[in-house]
Amino acid sequence: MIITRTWIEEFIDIKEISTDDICKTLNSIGLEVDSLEQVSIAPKVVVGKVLEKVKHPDADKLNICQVDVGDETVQIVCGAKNVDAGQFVPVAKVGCKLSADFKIKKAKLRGVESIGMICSSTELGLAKLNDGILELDDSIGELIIGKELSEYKLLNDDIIEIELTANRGDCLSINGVARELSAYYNIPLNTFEKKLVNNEIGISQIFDIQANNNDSSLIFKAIDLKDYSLDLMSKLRTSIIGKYEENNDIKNSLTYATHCTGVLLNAYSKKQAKNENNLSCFEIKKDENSFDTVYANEELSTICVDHKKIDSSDDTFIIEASYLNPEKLCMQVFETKITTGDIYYKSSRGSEPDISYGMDYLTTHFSKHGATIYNGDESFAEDTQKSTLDVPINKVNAIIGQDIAKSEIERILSSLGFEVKNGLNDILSVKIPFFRHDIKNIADVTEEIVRIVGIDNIQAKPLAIDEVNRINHTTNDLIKKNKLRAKACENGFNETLTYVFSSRESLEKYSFPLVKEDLDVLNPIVKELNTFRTTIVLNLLEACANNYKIGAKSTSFFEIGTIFDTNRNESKRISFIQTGAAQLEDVTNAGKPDNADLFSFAKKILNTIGKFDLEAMSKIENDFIHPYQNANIIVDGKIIGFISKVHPSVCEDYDLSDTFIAEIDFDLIKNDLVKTVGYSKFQASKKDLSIIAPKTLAYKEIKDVINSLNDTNIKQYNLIDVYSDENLGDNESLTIRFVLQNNEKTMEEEDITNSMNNILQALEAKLSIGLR
Amino acid sequence: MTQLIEKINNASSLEELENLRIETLGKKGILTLEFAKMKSIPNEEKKAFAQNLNEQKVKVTNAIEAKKVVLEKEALNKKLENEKIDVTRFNNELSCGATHPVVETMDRIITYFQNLNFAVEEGPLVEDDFHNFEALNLPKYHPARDMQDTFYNKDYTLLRTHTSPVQIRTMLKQDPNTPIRMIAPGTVFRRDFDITHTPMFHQIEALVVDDANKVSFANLKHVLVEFLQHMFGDVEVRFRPSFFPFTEPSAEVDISCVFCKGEGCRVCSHTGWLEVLGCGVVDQNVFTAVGYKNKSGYAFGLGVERFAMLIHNIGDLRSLFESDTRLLGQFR
Repeated sequence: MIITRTWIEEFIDIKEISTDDICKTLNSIGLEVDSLEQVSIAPKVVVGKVLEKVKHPDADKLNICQVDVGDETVQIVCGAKNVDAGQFVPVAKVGCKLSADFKIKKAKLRGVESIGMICSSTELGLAKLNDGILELDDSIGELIIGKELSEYKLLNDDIIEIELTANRGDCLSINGVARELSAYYNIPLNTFEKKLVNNEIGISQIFDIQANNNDSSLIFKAIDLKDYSLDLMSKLRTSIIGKYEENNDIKNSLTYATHCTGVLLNAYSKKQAKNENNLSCFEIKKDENSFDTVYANEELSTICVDHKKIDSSDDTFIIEASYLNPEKLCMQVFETKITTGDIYYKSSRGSEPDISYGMDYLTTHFSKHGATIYNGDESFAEDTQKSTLDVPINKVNAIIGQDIAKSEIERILSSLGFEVKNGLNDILSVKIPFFRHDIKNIADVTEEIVRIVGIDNIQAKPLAIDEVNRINHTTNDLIKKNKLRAKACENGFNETLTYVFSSRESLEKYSFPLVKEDLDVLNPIVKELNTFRTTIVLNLLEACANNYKIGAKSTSFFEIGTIFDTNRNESKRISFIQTGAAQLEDVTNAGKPDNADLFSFAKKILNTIGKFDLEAMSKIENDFIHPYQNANIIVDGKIIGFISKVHPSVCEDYDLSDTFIAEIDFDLIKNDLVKTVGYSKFQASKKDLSIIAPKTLAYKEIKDVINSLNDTNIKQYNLIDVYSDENLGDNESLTIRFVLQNNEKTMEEEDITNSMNNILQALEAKLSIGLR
Repeated sequence: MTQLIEKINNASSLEELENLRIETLGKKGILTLEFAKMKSIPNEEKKAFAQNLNEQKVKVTNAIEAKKVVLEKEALNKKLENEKIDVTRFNNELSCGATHPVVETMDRIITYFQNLNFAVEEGPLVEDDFHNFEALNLPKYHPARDMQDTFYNKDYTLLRTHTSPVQIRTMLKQDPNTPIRMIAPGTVFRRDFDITHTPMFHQIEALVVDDANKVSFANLKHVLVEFLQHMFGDVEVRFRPSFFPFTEPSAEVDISCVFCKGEGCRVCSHTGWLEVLGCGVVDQNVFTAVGYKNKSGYAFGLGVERFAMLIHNIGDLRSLFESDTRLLGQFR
C-alpha cells in the first residue's frame, strides 16, 4: 500500500506532523513502513511555456522550440514527439544538475544551438507517464512561468510504502490509513464534500439494469465523458502506485478513486450493453459457480473477483461500486478454485463496504474533470446490521496486563469508527464498523487498544510461575545430542546441516531406499531436492565434493538429522564422513600425510559414540559400500548402524580420494549412567601369544573362543601384530597381547601360564590353530 | 701428585675422569698399588705411610668427586641444549572439528529458556493440515495462507511451515488443567529459494498457557526484552503491532541494529531496526481448536538462522547450508 504525504493530507490535516514522525507512528500502530522515498526536483528546473515549434532543418525527429522561461526566451532543441506550442513544460536550465552525472550544458544539435532541456517525468525523478515530455497543468498548483518546480509541493512529495498484514484490508486505501492516523493523533478526518455536475438525463432513460438474488452490494451510476480529461496530479499518483495505463484515463480515474476510498469500482461502456426497447441493458446474475456477474451480450465481469479491460473508446459509461463480505468470498473462491484477477487482492482482504462513499467520491472526481453525471442511480445494496460486541473492560485489561481507563478505551474505539455505548457495570457495548470485518471478539478489540495506546506504553511484567520438573524425553535426547556433538568435534568432525531433501535420481542411482512415490513431495523446489532423504551420507558426500572443488581435499563432517524410510516414517541418525588425509600436513609427515583407513576412522567414531564391535555386512544394501571394507556397528549384539569405505567408483563420480562413511541410529546410541564394577588392586601382567591361523579365519572367531572361557583373570586383550611371509603360505601369525590380573592376589607365573594354556587348548580344540 | 690433581681438574669428560679414577684408585691404580706396598713397610713407618697415602687418596677422591659434579652438570646442560626446539615452529592449525553456528545458536536459546523453566518439546516434520493450519486459526480459505509457501506431499500431508504445530500437539497430549510452559525448536520448510530464503530453516517456538486472565501481553513483553538483551547484548527492543492468525493481539519485535547501533546501515536497510521475532497473546480460536476453555497464554516464534547470522556476522543465509569449511572452520 503506497501513500504520499500530500495525498493523505487531502483526508486528514497533518501539516504540523513531520513525515518521519508519521512513519514512526505507522510502525507503532501496526502498519509497517517498508520504505520512504522523498522526491525532490533539482534546482534550476522551471515552468516554461513553448511559444513556437518548428522542424529542425537537418533532423526529422528534432524540433526547435522557443520557450519562455520567465526571465528570457530560450531556444531548445527537443526530440520528444508530444512537444507542442502552447504547452507548459518543465525546463532544465543551463547549469541544472538532474543527477550526479547529468548536467545541462549549452549544446549544438545538428548545428542548431540548444540552451536547456524540456524534461520528461522520469528525468525529473517522478513516476513515468509516457515516452515524451511532461506536460504541466494547474493540478500541481498555479503555473507561473519561470517558477522553480522544486517549489511545487505536490510534485516534491514523500512517498511511503506500507507493508500490510493480511487482516488489514481496511487500510488498503488512503482514507483507511488516514482513519488510523486520525485515531492515533486524535485529529478528525476531513469531511468529504460531494460535488456533482449533473446533466439533464436520468439513468433510467438510457439504461436498464436488472439484478436479482445478488450476494454483493452494488450501486450503479451513469456518466458522460465527452468533455472529460484527467489532470496531471491524478495521473502521476496513479503512476506512483504502479497502476497507470497510458491512454486509458477512465481506468486511471477508477484506480485513483479506489485507491482513495478503498471501494471497488468498475465501468462498462454503453457499447457493451444489450439493446432492448431503446434501452441499454445490463443484467447481474449468477454464473455457474454462483458468483455475481455483470452480463450483457456476454459476461463483462465477475463482481469482486475479476474486472475485465475497459473499452475507453466510448463516451457514455455505467460505473459500478461493489462490496462482498471477504470471508464469504474467500470460502467460495477456495471451494470453486476459480482464477481470480488483480482486484481479488483487495476484495479478499476486505474492500471498503461503504460503497456509496466510493461512488460519491468517484462521481465527484469525474465531475471535477469535465464529465457529467446522469441523474439517479441503480442500487442493489444489501441491508446488513452492524454486529455488536460486549466488551468488559477488566477482560481487555487482563489481556494487556495493564489498566487502561474505560474512558480511554471508549475514545480509542470511537476514533477508529466503532460506535460505543456504555453498558452495565464495566462493559462497553461496541458496534463494529463494516470496514473492520476482521474484528470479531474481545481479543480483536484489545489489539486495537494496544495498537493505539502503543506497546511502548505497556509495562513489562514478569509472570509468576510454579516450579515444575520439565525434563522429558526430548530434554534427554538434547543432552545426548550435545554430548555426541562435542565428542564428534573433538574427534575432528565438523558439524554440518544439510537439507532433509535429496535427489530421487541420485538415491536411485546408488540403490538407496526411496520414499514411496505416492508419499513423495508434490511440489519440490528444484530437481536436486525432489524427494525426502533416506540417508544422510549422500548429503555428506556432496558436502565433501563441494569442498574438494574449492581446494579442501581432506574434510570430515558429521550431521545429526532426520531421515525417512520408504513409508516416510521419520527417524534420527548421526552420520559421519572422512575423506582424504588422516592428519594435517606438517613436519611430522613431511607434508605428505597418509590417507585415512577404516580402523582409524572407526576409532574416531568409537571415541564419539562409545564402545561397539564391527562385523562384516552379510548383505550390501547400497552402492556406496566397499565390498571388502564394510561392517555393521554392533552394540550388545544388535546392529545400530554401519561403517564402510566408500566404493571407489562412487569416489570417482564425486572426484574424491579415499573416503569413509558411517551412519548410526541416534536412538540406539546408549547414554546410560555409568555403574562401576569392582576392580583389582593387584599387579597386572602382560603376556603375548603368537598364533598361526589361516588368513581366511575371522579374528572374531578367535575372540569368541577366548571370551567363551570366561577367564576372569583376562582383563583385556588386543591384536598387536599381524605377520605373514612365504613360509607361512596361506597362514599368518597373529600376536595377541593379554593383560592378566587377579581380583584377589598377585598372579604367579604358574597362574599366568595356566590361563595361556587354557586359551591355547581351546583354540586348538575349536579352531585347530596354535602357537607359532 | 699435584700433576695428578691438575689432570683431574683438567679432565674434559666424564670418561676421562673415570679413566683417571681407575688409573689412581682402580684395582691396579697407582694409589692402590701404593697401598699394597704397606705389607713391605716396616711397622714403625706404617702409620706415617698409611696416613700419607690416605691423605692423598682423600685429596684425589675429593678432586674426582668435585670434578664429577662439574662435568655431570656440564653433560646435563649439553643434553638439555641438544633438546632445544624452536617453539615458533609450532603448527597452530586446529585439527578438531567445529559445531555448526545454527545448532549452536539454537542450543544457546534452548539453554536460556530451560533456565526459565521452559520444557522442550518436539514434533514431526511431516504434518497434516489440522496441526499446521486449521488448529492455528488458519482455515483453508484464509488470505494469510498466502504468506506461507507450503511444500505439499502427494498424500495431502505437508512439511510443517513453522514449529507452531508443536503447540497444538503439546496441548492435545496433556491434561488441559496443567499449565504449559514450553519451547519447540526444530526444522521447518517453506517453498522459497533465493538470497534471503532457503527451503529449510529452523525456528524456536514458545507457548505459555495458564488459567484465564493470568497470562498477559505485559508478561510476554517482559520475557522477550530480557531474552533479546541476553542474546544481543545492549540493544533497544521495539514492539510493533502486527498480525498472526494464531495470536491476538500480535506484535513483531525489532532490536536496534547490532551493526550500526541504530544509525542506519545496509543490513537494517537504513531503518536502524532489525526484525527478529513474532509474538502475541494466544488467540481464543486456537484454544477452542484443542478443546481448552477459560485459558490465557502467550506465544512467540523466531528464526534461528536470523539470530545466528546477526550474532556471528554471517552475510549469506544460504552459506549456512553449504557445508563450506571456510565458514564452518571458523567456529572451532
